[in-house]
Amino acid sequence: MNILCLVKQVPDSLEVHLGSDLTLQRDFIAQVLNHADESAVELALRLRDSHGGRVTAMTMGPKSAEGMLRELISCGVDEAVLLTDRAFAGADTLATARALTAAAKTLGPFDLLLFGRRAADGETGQVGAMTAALMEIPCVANVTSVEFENNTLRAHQLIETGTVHWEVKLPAALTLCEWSYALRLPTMRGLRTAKQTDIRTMKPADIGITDPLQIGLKGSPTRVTHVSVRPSGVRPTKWIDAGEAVLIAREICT
Amino acid sequence: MKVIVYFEKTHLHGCELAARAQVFSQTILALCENGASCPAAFSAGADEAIVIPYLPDDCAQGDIAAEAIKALDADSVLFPATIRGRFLSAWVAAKLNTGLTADCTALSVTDSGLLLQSRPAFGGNLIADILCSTARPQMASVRPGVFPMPEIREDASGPLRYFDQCEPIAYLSQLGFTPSENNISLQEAKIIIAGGKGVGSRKGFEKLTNLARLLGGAVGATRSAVDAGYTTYSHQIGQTGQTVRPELYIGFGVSGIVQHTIGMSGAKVVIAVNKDRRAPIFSHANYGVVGDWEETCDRMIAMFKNHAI
Repeated sequence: MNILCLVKQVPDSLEVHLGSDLTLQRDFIAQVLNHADESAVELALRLRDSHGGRVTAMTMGPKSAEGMLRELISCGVDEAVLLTDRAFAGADTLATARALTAAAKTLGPFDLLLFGRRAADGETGQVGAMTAALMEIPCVANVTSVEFENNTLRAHQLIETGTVHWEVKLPAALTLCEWSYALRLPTMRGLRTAKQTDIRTMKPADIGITDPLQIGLKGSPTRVTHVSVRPSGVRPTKWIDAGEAVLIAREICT
Repeated sequence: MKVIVYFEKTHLHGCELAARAQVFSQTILALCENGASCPAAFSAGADEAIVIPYLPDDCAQGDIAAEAIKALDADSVLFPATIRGRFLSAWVAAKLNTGLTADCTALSVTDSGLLLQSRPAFGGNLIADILCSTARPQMASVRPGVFPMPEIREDASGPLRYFDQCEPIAYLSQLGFTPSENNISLQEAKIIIAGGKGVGSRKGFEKLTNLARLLGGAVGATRSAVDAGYTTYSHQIGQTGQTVRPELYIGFGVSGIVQHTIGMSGAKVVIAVNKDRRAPIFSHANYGVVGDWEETCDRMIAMFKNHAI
């Protein structure tokens, strides 16, 4: 099975730095692999280990994202691709999905595209579904576990009221929940491979994008126009003891 | 402004969006997955209802919704940000090649007639205002419970038409559904007993469940309590969980970081119990108890056992 994992670096802390164009400045904070993306990579490795094939990890980001990709190679990913160019910067979810779609079509064909269900910084959870829609392949979001037998993929999707069970024809895309598959540790051999491997970098032209209005800030239909600090809670608190709390609860509930 | 509000088959949260949209739009179209939600949509202010078939294949549903939305030629489209609603909105936005803002907490219209979409970012520490100035329609999703539910009259009616001019292709087959254990959904609960990491164990959450049962309420949890394995994700309140507006929220061992409070600040009355007087939850509480969560919980259980509601 040929699998592409779409991963993202996110800030290790939720402190915020904004540039003058109101896009997020990522230079000053330690960057880590987005938590939910770990599940996607681990699932990919397990499917490859039991059914054969290759796992490619791809991210769109600055050159410094190379380190994260090397870490994934040390965990067993076969190939890593970095989409990096100023023209990609400042992309909203649609412009990101367009770039990922173009890259997946260039590098593919893939049987499975795996995403984390949402990034810890933007938390929109849109990129996986948008990419699948542009690729015109089935997609299940919020997946907690997957079985693959007799060429049939079953995905279990967490929703508010329970779990929906799906049968999915390949090629398909899945977005994984944070806690579903814990990413394995690097191996000694993996660490050696990671050191020696060249990380393939690709620019817009390498993935067949010639129109700069498709990607990055210029290709983004949505624009952040203002950012403010959220007002914190404003309820005047009356301090009470446990006994009074019981009486108040009783008064409200009866 | 002409606004489409999407109504999923399984709930009426579209009514919250339609009622809110009345403030800034002249025409509200309800796009309903089946006819059952039409009366509710009309009572929430929809001028017309367009019924599309419900399909047990979310991707195919997205295709149909995209076709219908394209044909209706509206300025804006609002989706309820349930897990399925968010998925559909992203699918539709990609198909229509337009912008989408997820999880808006405020919507209004600018002087130049654009939909001003505000959403929390960075774990809720910031509010970003977002515009989609060139692409159309302007799309946004809003969590259930962010805007108040209007009163629903089941006898409301209005002009209604069916949109079935597209042959959906099949993407997915739904094999089945396993409901989660909790009996009362957080969305409908009038009383929510919430626990944080401070509750300390699965056993602690069983105690909260006892209290919730006695009160006819539901159990809520913070993300860190869910991550610690004390309870399941279906109980999670906050940025990555659900948004709730109960009559009474009682928080036990909840520290009250913004990722959680963003999902419960609409509660009518909040009682917080925490051993740390400086815990941020207290700035969201009408009543604060500084002390051991278990003592207050036990006393409440004892009281309500003797005075069943």
